[in-house]
Amino acid sequence: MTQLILLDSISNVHYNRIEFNLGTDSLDNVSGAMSGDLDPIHGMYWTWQSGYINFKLEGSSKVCPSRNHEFNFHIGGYLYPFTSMQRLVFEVNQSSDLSFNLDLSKLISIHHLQNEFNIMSPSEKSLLFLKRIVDCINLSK
Amino acid sequence: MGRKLFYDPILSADQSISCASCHSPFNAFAHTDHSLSHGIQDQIGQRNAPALFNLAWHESFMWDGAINHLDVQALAPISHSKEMASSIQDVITRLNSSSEYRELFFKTYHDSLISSERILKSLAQFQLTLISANSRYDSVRQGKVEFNLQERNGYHLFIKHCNSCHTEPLFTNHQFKSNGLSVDTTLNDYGRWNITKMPSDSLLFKVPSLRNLSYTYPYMHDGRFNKISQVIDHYSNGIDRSVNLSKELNNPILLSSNEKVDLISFLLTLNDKAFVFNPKHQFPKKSINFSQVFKIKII
Ligand code: HEC
Ligand code: HEC
Repeated sequence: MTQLILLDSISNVHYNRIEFNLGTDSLDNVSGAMSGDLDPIHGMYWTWQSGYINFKLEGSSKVCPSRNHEFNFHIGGYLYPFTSMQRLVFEVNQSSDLSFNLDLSKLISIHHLQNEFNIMSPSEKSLLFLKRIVDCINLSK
Repeated sequence: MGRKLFYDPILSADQSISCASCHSPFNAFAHTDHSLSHGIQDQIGQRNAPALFNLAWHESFMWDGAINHLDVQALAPISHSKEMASSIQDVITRLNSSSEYRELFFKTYHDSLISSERILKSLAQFQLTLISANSRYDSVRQGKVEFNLQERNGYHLFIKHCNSCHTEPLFTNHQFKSNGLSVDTTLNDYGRWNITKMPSDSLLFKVPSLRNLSYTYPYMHDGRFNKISQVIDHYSNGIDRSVNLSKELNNPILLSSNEKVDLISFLLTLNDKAFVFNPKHQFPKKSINFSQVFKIKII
């Protein structure tokens, strides 16, 4: 399955760097009830503890030793030391469109699912998972 | 509208539990008689429901500060399987099927869209009106009346032993502290540690206000004490020094039995009857429809 998010294409511009935030910044996390993309009805907000879930991946796999073989990864958190927003910077040299890909098969390999299948709150484990998410992002022309 | 929502069981999955089920106006919005709160289908929660007042001054919510803003607090009880066992999406659906609420949202927000943001903000706005500032202590501070001798002695003991954490005039410094309660091994609740996972936060809980104590028993995060005198006995000879005790309590608190009585008589001056019995905060009676009243023609 592929999910595509298209941003307006920029024509006739030469650019040498792309910077963006992966996740919601701490201000969004402490500003109370919000609407639009940040509306808690989208299921990307923790209810028992304040803060946005920045990345959510749920499913099942035969290799998971969990109940119904389910895995749940809810990655987020804005409080130190489990701050999950990442500033990503890519040095490029480009004047045409670029795409960013998140390689899910690399992220949840069989080897990982056997050991790690449930991350539901900001913790040491969620920070490690986040690092893997960033490692699974690649650029293609 | 926030008040109507607060008292309406429409927020829970089987429409049996309202916010007021656990936060009763006559108990300064705490849950009396239950050490741990009771929610949907009589399920028992993990903690004692705190009183709700002077919330505008809180920097965080819940005993462990899990919630950072009053707006989003209501998401917790609405979604909790042992409290209201619903979800904000389902609440929106239920409110949308009520013509009364559609009309009320229109009146409040000038269009009838029922959104999570509006539901949450209305609930928060009502709770922000719950202000307790009319106790005997407040009248003393305003120079209207004076403490009697016993209350004044109690006040001095309070300043010496308690004010560092239960800081006047709100009677809390809103910080996380340990007052030396030993761990209840049936609950194993480590308080602030649940949120930060830092060892230094183990067993710290948010310092509660001491206003309206006569209405808010039982006391502490797990409701382990039923009487104020038991709390005073805890501070004078029940403190568990093996836990992560906060430094304000390093020196033992030595109180004679007379001093204990004095201290309690001061604490009772923090009861705010005008707040607890304020009809503006209570269950909304059907409001009079003025358009009908004025239809009577006088010839
Ligand atoms: C089943 C009982 C129950 C219901 C129903 C309930 N609460 Fe609570 N409430 C509690 C408990 C228990 C706590 C403390 C939770 C904790 O510390 O983890 C609490 C905490 C709070 C706090 C934080 C107070 C503070 O001093 O930090 C607020 C505000 C609050 N509730 C408002 C509400 C609102 C609004 C509703 C309705 C949408 C509601 N509650 C429904 C039991 C309940
Ligand atoms: C180190 C800071 C500290 C000091 C000093 C302190 N307290 Fe507390 N107090 C707390 C904390 C924290 C709690 C909540 C503990 C819990 O529930 O785990 C609490 C809870 C209480 C409660 C229960 C309130 C409720 O609504 O449940 C009462 C009553 C109380 N304290 C009275 C006093 C008195 C009287 C003194 C002085 C003799 C005092 N405290 C000194 C930190 C302190």
